[in-house]
Amino acid sequence: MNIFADAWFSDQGWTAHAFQKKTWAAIAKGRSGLLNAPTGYGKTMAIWFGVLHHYYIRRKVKKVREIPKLHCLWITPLRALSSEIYQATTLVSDDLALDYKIGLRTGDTSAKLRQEQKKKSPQALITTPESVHILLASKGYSDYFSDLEFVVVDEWHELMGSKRGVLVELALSRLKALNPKLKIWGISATIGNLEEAKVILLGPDNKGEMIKSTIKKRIQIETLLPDVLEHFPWAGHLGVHMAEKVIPIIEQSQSTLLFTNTRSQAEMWYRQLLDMKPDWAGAIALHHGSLSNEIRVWVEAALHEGNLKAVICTSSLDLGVDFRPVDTVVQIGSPKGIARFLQRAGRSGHQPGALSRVYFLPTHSLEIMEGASLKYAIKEEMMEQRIPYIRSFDVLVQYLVTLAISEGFKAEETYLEVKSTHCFASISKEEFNECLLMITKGGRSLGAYDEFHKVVAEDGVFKVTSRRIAHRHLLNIGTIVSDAMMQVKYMGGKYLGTIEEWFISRMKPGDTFWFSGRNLELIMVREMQAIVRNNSGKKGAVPSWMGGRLPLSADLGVALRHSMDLAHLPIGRNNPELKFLKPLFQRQKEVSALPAEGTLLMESIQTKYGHHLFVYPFEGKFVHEGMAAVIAFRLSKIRKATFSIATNEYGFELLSDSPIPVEEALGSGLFDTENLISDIQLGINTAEMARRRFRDIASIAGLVFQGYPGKPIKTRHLQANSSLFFSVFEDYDPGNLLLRQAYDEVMDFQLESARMYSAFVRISSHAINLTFPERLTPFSFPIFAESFRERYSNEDWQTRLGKLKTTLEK
Amino acid sequence: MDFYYKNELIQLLPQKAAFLPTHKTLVIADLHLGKASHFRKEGIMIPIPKISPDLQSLEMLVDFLQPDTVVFLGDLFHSSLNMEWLALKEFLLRYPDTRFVLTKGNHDILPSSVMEDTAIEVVEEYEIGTRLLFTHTPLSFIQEEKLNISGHIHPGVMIKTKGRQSYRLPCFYYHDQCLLLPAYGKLTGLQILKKTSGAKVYAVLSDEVIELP
Repeated sequence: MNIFADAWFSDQGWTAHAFQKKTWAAIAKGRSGLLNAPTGYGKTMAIWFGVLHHYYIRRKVKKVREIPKLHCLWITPLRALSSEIYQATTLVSDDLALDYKIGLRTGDTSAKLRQEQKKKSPQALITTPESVHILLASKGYSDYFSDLEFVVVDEWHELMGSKRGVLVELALSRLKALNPKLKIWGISATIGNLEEAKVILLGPDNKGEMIKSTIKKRIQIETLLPDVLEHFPWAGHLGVHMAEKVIPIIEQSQSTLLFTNTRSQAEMWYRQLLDMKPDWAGAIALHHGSLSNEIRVWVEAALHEGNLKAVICTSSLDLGVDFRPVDTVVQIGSPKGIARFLQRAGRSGHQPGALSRVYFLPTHSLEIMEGASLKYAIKEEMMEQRIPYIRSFDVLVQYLVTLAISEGFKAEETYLEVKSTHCFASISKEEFNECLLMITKGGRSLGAYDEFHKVVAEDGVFKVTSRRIAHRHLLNIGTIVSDAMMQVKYMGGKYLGTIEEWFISRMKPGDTFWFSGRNLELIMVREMQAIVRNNSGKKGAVPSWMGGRLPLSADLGVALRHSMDLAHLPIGRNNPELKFLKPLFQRQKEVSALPAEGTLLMESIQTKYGHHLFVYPFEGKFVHEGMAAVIAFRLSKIRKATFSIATNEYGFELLSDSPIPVEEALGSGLFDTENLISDIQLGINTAEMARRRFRDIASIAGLVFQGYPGKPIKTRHLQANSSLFFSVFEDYDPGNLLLRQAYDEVMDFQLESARMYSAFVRISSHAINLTFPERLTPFSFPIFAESFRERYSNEDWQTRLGKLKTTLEK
Repeated sequence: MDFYYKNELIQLLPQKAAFLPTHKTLVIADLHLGKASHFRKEGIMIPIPKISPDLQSLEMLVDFLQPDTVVFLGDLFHSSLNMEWLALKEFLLRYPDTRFVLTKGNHDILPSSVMEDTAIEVVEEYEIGTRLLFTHTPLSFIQEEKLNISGHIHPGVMIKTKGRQSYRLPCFYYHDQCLLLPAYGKLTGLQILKKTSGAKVYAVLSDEVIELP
C-alpha cells in the first residue's frame, strides 16, 4: 500500500508493476536494497514513492514542527540524468500538491542557488558523487545531513566500476556514521555480479533486499553489411564509408540515436551525414561530453520533444535518460561489451512492451563478426561483471583532506568508518597512518628544513588552516582526470565546449578545425581560451580527445571465439555476418590459416619494417598487451631483443629488427603457465605502465593540480608533469602507498592479470598453428595498422642507447 | 662533443652543461633549484632527499673542471625563497675563488636583496669577447658574427628507429647563431623540438653527446 503512488498512478491511468509494489513495501518496512529493472519501466518511481511515503508517515507520527531538513540524497553519475530525475520527481510533488521540495545540485548549479540550498534545505537533493564530496567539504555538513533518511544511488553499476564508486562508498561511510539508521537504495542495470554490487553499496552487515523486475525487453539486432566485401577496409575505426547505409534507417525512423565510441568519431559522422544530406541541417544534432552544457541541454530537450531526426552521440547519452520519441539505435563500431550494447539498445523503444531496434554498423571487415557474436551473447544471456576498485589510496587521501577543510576529523573514528567500506576493507592501521603522514608531513620526508604544510592536527582533530590550500582542494575534488582543457569560444563570448590543450597548441591563428559540428577558424588563443569564428570552408582538422579506449570484454571475447569457430562449419542462412565474411575467411585460409577451437594461430611474417610475429587469442586489447609482453620476455630470454608491440581486440603483434626465434621458443614452452606470475613481473615493464597510471593517481591525490575547465587558475609555478613525480617517488620514496597503488592498478585493471592467467591456462592446452605467410594477411593487417604502439625491451637503457649510437654513427 | 662557433670551442657535456675551456667558463641552464621545496610548501607532497641531487652533481662537475666562472643561464631558483636557498648559499661559499654569474630568467623572482647576499652577479645578459652572448631566453635578433647561448626552452629530441622504437632525449640545439642548452635540473621536463633544416641537434645519451645526422 502506498497512498501517494495509488493516487498518482490512477491519475496517470497506469497500473503499477510488481517490482514497484515490492519496492514500496520494502521501503515501508525500513529496508535498504538494490533494484534491478530495465529503463523505461518506472524504476525511479518505484523508489520515489517509497521515499515520499516514508516522509509523510514519519511527519504524522512525530508531529515534527521544526523546519524540515534534507531527507533524501539522490546520487546519479550524469548531469543529464540528474535533471531528468529532478523534473520527474518535481512533477509528482506538483501533481499531488505536496510540500516536498526537490533541489538539483551539479557542477552547473550557480553559487547563489547553492547558498540557498544550504540555508533552506530542500527535502530531496539530486546530485553527483563529486557534489556530495563538495558538500562534505563545507562547514556545517553534519548538521545539514543530520536528518537524512535515504540515499539513493542511481545507475550504481556504472559508478561501481570506477573510482567515482569509491567516492560514493566513502561518502556513505560518513553519512552512515551520522545517521546509523540510514536507508540505502541502489538502482542497477543487469550486470554479472549484481549480488556483489548490492553488498558493496549497502555494506556487508546490511542484508537489504534484492528486487528484480521480471520484465524482459524485446530487442531486434541487425548488422549493417556493406554492398561488397572487396571494397570494405581491413582496418579502420571510423566507418564513415558506411554512412549511406544509415541514411534510409534514419529516414524510416521517428528518431534515431547513433552511438560512436569516441568524440572525434561523432564529429566526423555528423559532418559526413550533413555532407550527404544538406537538407538535414537543423534536424540532426551532435552530443558529446566536450560540448558546452547549453548545447547538450538543448539537444536533450529537442530529443524529448521529438524535434530531431537523429543525434550522433557518445557514451554521454548511454545512461538513464529516456527519450520517448527515439525508436531506433545505431551502434557505430564495436560496442566492446555486451552490457554496453544492451544499454545503448535500450535507449530506443521506451514505451513499455515496445521493441528495441538496434543496428550494428561495423567499421572494418573483422568487426562484422562481432555482430554475430553479440546476437549469440544476448541469446545466451551472457553479461559482464563490473570490477570494483579496491585500495584506492589516492581517493582516500583526497577524502581525508576534504574532511579536514570542513569540520576536521579524528584519526581513530575515520579509520573505522573508512575500513567499513568495501574499497578499504583490507586497509591496515599502518597504511592509514601513512595516508595521514602524507597530508600532514608530506610523506616520509628526509629534508632537514621542511616547510610542508597542508593538514595540521589540533587537539587530535585534523584540519586544513590555509585558505589557499582549501580553495585549491575544492577545485580538485573528484576522480575524473582530463588533460589540460581549453575553452572554445566565439568572439562575442558564446561558449561552445572544451578541447584538449595539446590540440590547440599545434594550430596557428587562421587554421580551421571541426568542433560541435561547425567549421571554426582559430582567431587567437587567450590564456586558456581559443577564440574562434565560423568558417564557410569544408576543410579542417578534427580534434581528438585522449580518453581511454575500452578493451573488449571477456564475455564478448568468448562469444567472438564461438563465432570464429562457426566459420569452419557450413554457414547457414541465419548467420548473415559469417556468410558475408566467407570470402575473407577463404583468403585468410589460403595465405595462412583460420583460428579454430583448440588451436592458437600464429603468423611469422617478414616485411621491410622488420620481423613480425602475430598471435590471435581473441581476448581483448588489455589482455593482449600483457600477453604480448610476457611472450616478448620469454622470446628475449632465448635471444636478447627489443620489440615494438601492437595489439587490437583480436590479437597482438611483436615487431623486431632481428629474426624472432619462434619455433625454438615454442619448443621450450612459450605459453606455459609455469612461472607465469614471475614472468609477468619480470617481463612486463610495469614501471612504464605504472608511470601512466600514476598520472590519474597524482591528480586525484592532489599532487598535480588541474584547475577546472572554465576556471583556469594561474598555477604554472606549481605544475610538474606526473611523470616527473613518478621518477622522484621511485628514487626517493619507493615504498610510497600511491606509487604501489599505481603498480596494483596496472596488475588489476591494465593487465587484468586474473583474466590473462586464465587465457594462458586456456592456450597452454591448445595446439599451435604457426604459419609463414609471404605478406600481411586479412587478420594481421588491422593489428599492423594500429597506430598506438607499446615498446618492450629487456635490453637495458645503456645497451639500447649503445645500439642507437651505432645506428646514428653509421 | 666539441662544438665550434668561428674559432670559439664550446664543449657540450653529457652532464647537460657546456664548458668553454679557453675562458675556463662552465655554463648551466635552467637548474630550477628549490622546485621540490616550493611544491612542498604549497602542500604538494613530493619526496626530497637531504641533499639536492642537482647541487651534488654540480659540485662534482665544478670540482672536476675547476672553472674560473660559472654562468647560470636563468631559472636558477624556481620560485620564492625556501630552505633550498640555504643549501645553494652553502654551495657558493665552498668556491670563494669562482665567479658566479646569473642571466636573469622568468623564474628568478627572488628580491635583489636576497641575491645581493650571495656572490652571484645578476645580469640581463653576459658577454665573453665579441663573439659569445649569454641570455636566458633565446634572442630573436642577434648581431652578425655573434653566437647567442641560452636556456629557457628545455630542448629535447625524439629519435625514431627501426622496429618503430622511439627515444626521448634531452639535447643541445643549434640553429641560426643560437645554441640552446638542455635544462640541468632533474625536476624539469623536455620540450621536443623538430630538427629544422640547417639546425644541428646534439642528443645527450647518458654518458655521451652525439650529433644527430
